[in-house]
Amino acid sequence: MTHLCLRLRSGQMEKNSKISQIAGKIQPYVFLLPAVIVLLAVTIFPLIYSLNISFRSVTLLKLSHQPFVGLSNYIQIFRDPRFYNALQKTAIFCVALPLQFSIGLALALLADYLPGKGSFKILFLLPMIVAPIAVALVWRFMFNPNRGIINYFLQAMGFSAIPWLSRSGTAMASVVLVEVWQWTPLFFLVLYTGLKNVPLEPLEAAMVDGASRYELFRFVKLPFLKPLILITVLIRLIDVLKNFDLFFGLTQGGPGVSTEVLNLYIYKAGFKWFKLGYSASLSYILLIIIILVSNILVRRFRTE
Amino acid sequence: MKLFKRLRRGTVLIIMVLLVSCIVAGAQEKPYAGTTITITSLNAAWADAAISMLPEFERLTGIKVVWEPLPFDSIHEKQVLDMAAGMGTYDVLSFDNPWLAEFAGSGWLENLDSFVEKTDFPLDDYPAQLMEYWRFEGNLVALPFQPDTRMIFYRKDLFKEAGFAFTPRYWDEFVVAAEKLNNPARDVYGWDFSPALTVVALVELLPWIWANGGDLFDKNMKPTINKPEAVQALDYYVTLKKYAPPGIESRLWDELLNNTLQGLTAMSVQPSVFAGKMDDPKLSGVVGKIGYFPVPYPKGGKMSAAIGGWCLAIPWSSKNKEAGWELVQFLASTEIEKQMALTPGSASTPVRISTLSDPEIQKMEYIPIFLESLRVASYSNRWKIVEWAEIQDYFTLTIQRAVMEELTPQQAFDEFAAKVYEIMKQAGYYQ
Repeated sequence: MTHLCLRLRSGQMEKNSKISQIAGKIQPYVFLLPAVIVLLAVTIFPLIYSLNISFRSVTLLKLSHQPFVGLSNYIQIFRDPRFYNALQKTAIFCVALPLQFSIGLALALLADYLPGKGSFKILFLLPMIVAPIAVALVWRFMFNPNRGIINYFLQAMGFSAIPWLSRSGTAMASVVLVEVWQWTPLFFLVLYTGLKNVPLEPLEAAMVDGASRYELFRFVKLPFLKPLILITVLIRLIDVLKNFDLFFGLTQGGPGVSTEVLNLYIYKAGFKWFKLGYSASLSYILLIIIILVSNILVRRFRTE
Repeated sequence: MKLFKRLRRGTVLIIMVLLVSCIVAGAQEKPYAGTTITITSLNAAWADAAISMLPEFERLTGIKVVWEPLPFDSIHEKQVLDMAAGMGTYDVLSFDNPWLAEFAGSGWLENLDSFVEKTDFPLDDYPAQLMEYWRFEGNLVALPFQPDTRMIFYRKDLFKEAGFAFTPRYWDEFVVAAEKLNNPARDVYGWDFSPALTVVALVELLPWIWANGGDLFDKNMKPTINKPEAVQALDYYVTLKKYAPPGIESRLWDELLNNTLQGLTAMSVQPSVFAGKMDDPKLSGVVGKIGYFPVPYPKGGKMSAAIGGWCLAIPWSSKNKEAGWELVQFLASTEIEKQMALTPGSASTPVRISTLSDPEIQKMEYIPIFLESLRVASYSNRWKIVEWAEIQDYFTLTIQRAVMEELTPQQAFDEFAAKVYEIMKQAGYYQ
C-alpha cells in the first residue's frame, strides 16, 4: 500500500517537477516582461520610428503623407549653413566641460586638505539639485541688463553694466557660466569622495618614501581616481553635447543664432517649423556625433 | 364606476404627457447639458477674466467647461500636436492669427458657416475689414477674438516736461521726440521695442515697411523684401536702437512691458491689450501717466498698422462641436465681451462693433487709437501662407541680426529674400 502510494506520489512529483522546471525557466522572463515592454515602447520603438521618418519627408501639418525620400534629408543637412553653425556653437559650448572639471577638482583638493565636517561641504551640492529650466529662468532674471542683480553689483563696484544675453560673445559665455555653476558640484562630489576613499597603504607607503604632496597626488591618488573621472566626464560630455534646457530658458538660441546649439536647432526644425523628417535626421546626426566623441574619450582614457 | 376608472386613467395619461413634454421642452433648452468641453488659449489675463464667467455659462447651458491656459512658448506646438494626431483633447481653440493658414490649410478647422446660419449668429456685427482674413478658401474657419494692434505707449508727464505740444505723427518728428526724451543719466530712455526672435519683431517692423510702400511679396508672391522701401524701414527701425535701454538685442515682450511699467522708457511700442495693465496699481509704477498714439509713418507714406490677436475656432477632432459652438457664442457675445473688457487688469479688447461703440468702452483711453489703427491695419500673414512658421522664423532672425549690426539692413534683407524664395519654391508656389 505504502509502496503504491510512494510510487504514485513520486510519479506525480516527477510530473510536477517537469512543469515546475518549465515554470522555473520562464519565471525570470515573466518578471522581466513588464520592464521590457516599457523599454520597447518608450525607447526602442521611438528610435526605430524616428529612424524611419528621417528617410521620409514628414511634416506635422500633414501626417498622412510621408513619402520616402531616401537620404535627401541627410544631404540637405550637409548643405545647411545653419547646421554648421549649430555644430560650431555646440563645440564652443564644450569648453564648459574642462572648466567644470578643473574647478571641481580644485575645490575637492581644497576640501580634502581642509579639516572639518563634511556637512558644510554639502552646501556646495545645491546647484546640481535644482531643475535646469528653473536654473535657466532665474539666471535670466539675474542677467537682466537694467534690473538684474549681477549688473547691479558690477555697477556698485564701479564697473559698467555688461549686456550679458544680448551680445553674441557674452551670450555664449553666460550660458557656459551657468552650466559650470550648476555642474561643478557634481565633479566636486565625485572627486572629493574619491579622494577620501583612496586606499591607505599605497598612500602611507609613498609618504614613508618621502613623496611630496604633488607627487602623492599625481602618482597615488590620481590613478585611483581615473575610473571615477572617466565616468563623470563621459556622462557630463554627453549632457553638454545635447544640452537643451539652459539654451531654451536663457537665450532661445539668440541673439541671432549665436547660441543655437544642435539640440536647439533640432527642436526648432521639428516643433517650430514642424519638419519632423528633417528634425529626425538631425537628431541621428547628433547621436552619431555623441557616440563617436564618447568612443574617442573612452579609448584615450584606456590607453593612458 | 367604469366612467370613473376611465376618467382616472385619462387624467394619469394627460399628466404623464404633460410631464414628458416638460422634460422634453427643458431638454431642448439645454440640449448639451451634462457635456464637458475643453478650451485652450493663451494664459493671458483675459483668459482669467473669461474663466471667471464660466459659472454663468454653465448655468445657462448646463455645459461644464475645462479651460486650459497655455504659455506662449508651447501653445502652438500643443495645438498642432492635438490636431495632427486627432486626439480630440480640445473642443474649442483660441489660436494666434498667423497660424490660420497652417491650421486651415491642413484641414483642421471646422467650417463655422453652418453653425452661424443655424444659430443666426450676427456676423455683420464684426468689422468687415477683419473678417476677410478669417475665411480660408471661402469658408469661415474662426472668429476673431481679443484683437490687438501695436501702438505707441508714451509718458504724458515726460512729454509735458519736454515741452511737446502734440504727439509725433511722422518718422522725423518721432526721432526728435525720442532723442529729447532719452536721458540715461536719469534712468529714462527715449524708446523701447522688442527685436528678439519672436513674432513681436515682425508686427513692430511690418507697419513701417507697409507705411513706406514696401512689402514682403509682390502680386506673384515673389519676395520684394529687399527693395529700397523695405530696407529703408529696417534701417529706421535699427537706428532707433540708440535711444533704447541696454540689452535691446535680446529684449523679449515681457521685459519690454516691464520696462514701461517701471517707468524706464518714455515711449515704447506695445500691443493695445496691455493698455489695461498700465493703470493697475499692483503692477504699474506709472499709473495714470501713460497715453497712446498710433505708430508713426514717413512723410509721403501712408499710415499703417499691424493687427494681431487671437480667435475662437473648433478643431476637426473635437467630439463636442455643437457644445463647443455654444461656448464660442457665449464668449463672443456683446455682454461677455464688454464685461471682460471692463474687468480691471484683464487686458481684454472687444472686437464686435456693438461692443466697441458702447460708451463705457469708448471711454477707455486706448480705444480711439485702437480704432484709428484698425482702419489701416493688416495681418502679418495676410497672404495666408501655410509654411508661414519657417518664414516668420527667418524673418525675425533677420531683423534681430540687423539690430545686432551683424549685417547691414540691405544685406540682411537680401539674404532673407533669397531664403524666402527658397522656402516658397520648395512649397510649390512658383510653377
